[in-house]
Amino acid sequence: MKKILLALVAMFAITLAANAADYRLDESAIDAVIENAVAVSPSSIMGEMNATMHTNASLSAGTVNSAAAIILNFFLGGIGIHRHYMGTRPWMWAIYTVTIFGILGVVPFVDFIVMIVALVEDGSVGRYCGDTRFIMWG
Amino acid sequence: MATRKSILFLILAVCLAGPAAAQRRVSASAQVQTVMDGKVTTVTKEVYCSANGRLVTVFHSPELLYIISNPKGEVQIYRPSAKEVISEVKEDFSDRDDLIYLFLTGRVDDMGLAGYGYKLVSSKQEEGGIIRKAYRSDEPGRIPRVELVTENFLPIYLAYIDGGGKVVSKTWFTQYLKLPRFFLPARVTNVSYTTSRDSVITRTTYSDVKVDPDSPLFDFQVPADARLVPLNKRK
Repeated sequence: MKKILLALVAMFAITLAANAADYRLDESAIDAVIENAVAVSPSSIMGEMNATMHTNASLSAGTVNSAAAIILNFFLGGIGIHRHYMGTRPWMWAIYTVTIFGILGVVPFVDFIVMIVALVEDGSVGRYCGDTRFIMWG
Repeated sequence: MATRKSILFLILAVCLAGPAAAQRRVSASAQVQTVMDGKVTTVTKEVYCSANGRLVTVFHSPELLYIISNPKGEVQIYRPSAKEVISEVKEDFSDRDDLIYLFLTGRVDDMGLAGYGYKLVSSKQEEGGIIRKAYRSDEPGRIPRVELVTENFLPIYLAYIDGGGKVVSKTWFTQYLKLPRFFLPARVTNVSYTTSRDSVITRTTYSDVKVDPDSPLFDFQVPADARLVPLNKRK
């Protein structure tokens, strides 16, 4: 229930912040969203994926839950968590972060689209598993 | 006589400005916070950016990591914990993506969009020094439309728009710092709209910005005894 309330507050705040002349940002609204969020460590999130983290390029499609990969991109694509789940180099999170969350959010968004396409065409995101490139769809 | 002195002074100023600009170095600390579904993750890093294009990024959390790159896309990633280094040349990863490098080199008129195949299709001036520019790309794999808004020639807003007119990502550049001969936004906030109801917020806050500091990290080199890790190639 608390999570739902937090999510609703966040959505409302973002809407308020973004609609008042699109190119002006209400920083206090964003501050409130960040302050109300629960701090988690990226390593703890990646640690939870240890059971399924692979760095072997021959990873088979069946060992990765495609829905989980898409959900991870959906929520944490900005720091490349979905790439770690599907198997990539240990430092991929740094590249997503240093390129301003994947070239200002574009790379995770396209990652999301191509994974959906793969799910439709192949039935899984296996074609991207073990991919060590920053632009996995390049 | 006064005119001759003025001309000589101007020539001297121009001559000194060139090499001085080329030698400029900027270092900064940055905190990157990502918020989703009521959770926030924080990554901290230091950036050492040289005007010649060499960029050293040092991550302190979640682990110590060094990334050395240049505008040609030559990248080295060094993990001291494992004493391993990955080296790659990749067009996709270039300094043109780094915010500090863009502002240091004055390439903020289009935020590097031209390098990604975007072309300016319209420019509209509004009150208060506001200029709204629209860019378009027909290259596969690119979000087709971009809107860039500048205020007094500094970018304040950038949005990616998909083919259906839906905004997929917005970025705001705020709290500009006035530094010697260039400006830098101390805060960059991005909202990526994953669905019509959900979004992910990422905020990067720069602090401790120094121009031309004396730091050996600008010239950081991967230790010679680091193990070179070959990249696995996708079959």
